[in-house]
Amino acid sequence: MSVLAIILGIFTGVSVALFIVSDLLKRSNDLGNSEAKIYDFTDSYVHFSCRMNRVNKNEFYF
Amino acid sequence: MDNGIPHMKYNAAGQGVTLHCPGCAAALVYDPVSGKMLCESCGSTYTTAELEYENRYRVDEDDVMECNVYTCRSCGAELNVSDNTCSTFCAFCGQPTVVFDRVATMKKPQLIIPFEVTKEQAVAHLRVKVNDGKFVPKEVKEFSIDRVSGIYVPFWLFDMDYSDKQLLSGEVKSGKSTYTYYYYREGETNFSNMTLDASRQLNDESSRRLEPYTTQALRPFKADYLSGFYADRYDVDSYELQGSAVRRAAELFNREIELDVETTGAKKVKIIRHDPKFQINGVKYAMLPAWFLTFRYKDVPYTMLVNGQTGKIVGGLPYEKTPLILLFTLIFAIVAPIAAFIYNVVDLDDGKRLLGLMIAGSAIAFAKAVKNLKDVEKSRRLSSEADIANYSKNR
Repeated sequence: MSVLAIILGIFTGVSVALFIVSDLLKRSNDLGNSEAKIYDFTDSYVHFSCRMNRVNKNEFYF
Repeated sequence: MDNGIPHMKYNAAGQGVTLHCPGCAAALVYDPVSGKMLCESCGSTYTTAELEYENRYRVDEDDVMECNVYTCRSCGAELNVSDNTCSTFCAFCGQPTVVFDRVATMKKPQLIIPFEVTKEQAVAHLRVKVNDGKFVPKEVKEFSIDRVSGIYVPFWLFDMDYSDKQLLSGEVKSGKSTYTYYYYREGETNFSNMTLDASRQLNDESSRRLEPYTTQALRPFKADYLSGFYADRYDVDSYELQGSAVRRAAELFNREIELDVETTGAKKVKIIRHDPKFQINGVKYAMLPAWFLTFRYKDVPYTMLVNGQTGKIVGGLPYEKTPLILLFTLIFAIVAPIAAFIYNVVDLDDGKRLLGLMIAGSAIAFAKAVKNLKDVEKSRRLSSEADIANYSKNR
């Protein structure tokens, strides 16, 4: 087995293990870690008066 | 001095009221379950109209109230209270007594959300959450509460119109290439009763996590609601929080714009230029309820907060490292050899995509893991800080 494969294998192992453990720890011990959203303070979300996609950025100066 | 209504007791200045039961003369407390004043001795309940005491408070104007030095009406003790305390229990006899502080004239709260979650419910909710925690130490699962305080926390509620026009950039993947596109959005929104905590003693992070409160439940302020609970006066003026209010509105607004652009398939959305406008239409002073529950673990006090309206629990629990290390080692022992085997056998030319995905996925997993651990440690630190323990202790 090549050295690079071993190193990458260790990296993947550490990342996956750390992710799973940290995710379980967060669900278990970090309570109520969320804040209010926009709809908690408004009757509706944002009223859009204009929506344009894939525009030329040089046409918009303000 | 008696004003003729048998259950009312006043000092010579007409201040410092203990509400007494007409039936048995024991002290009355506000009951969140029934929304009435409750006698814990004989079980009778009364509405404020029945007690007819609200008009006994001396007020110079509609939006201010006059405050005097506090003396316990039940046992006569003089209590040393913080300058910001509006109501407290007597430290000597434990009777609930409405208190006004030393400032001669101060702004009366306009609105209040009364407690809907009782102390017993708050403790029960916390016990369920703690027992469900996989990495919570056994001693914490069997915790005994050091102190439970129901506190009305002062908030400023902002009404604000916010609008912006934004030019944004976003990245779109097409095959192996990534393209940058530009998007234009113009919109507005009206914020109503946006909450900002008005107490310097309670850190902003904790108060924001307590949210959201259902502001439809806001009622005109009546001092009755304070009875049986602690309350703090604001010590941050609304004008000091205007900048924070605008920043918060901008954060919420910008997040919605970002989500809207992401629906087109774009990632890494950023604002290139924008022209925000805002107008603050009004600011109201309100009291919002929260339970502060403190327990000790390894001689360190941990204070968990419970939203007194919704029951949302906020805080970081301590954790044991041994089960974490064991679980980490087990998962690593399984995943690492399999991954190394795949990296070794997959041909670099044919399996480039798979290898790329595995390495990128590992990097993302690692970054998320680091963020998770930072969040957990930050929460645990917030709950164990002296400030938050003292916020409920100094009552």
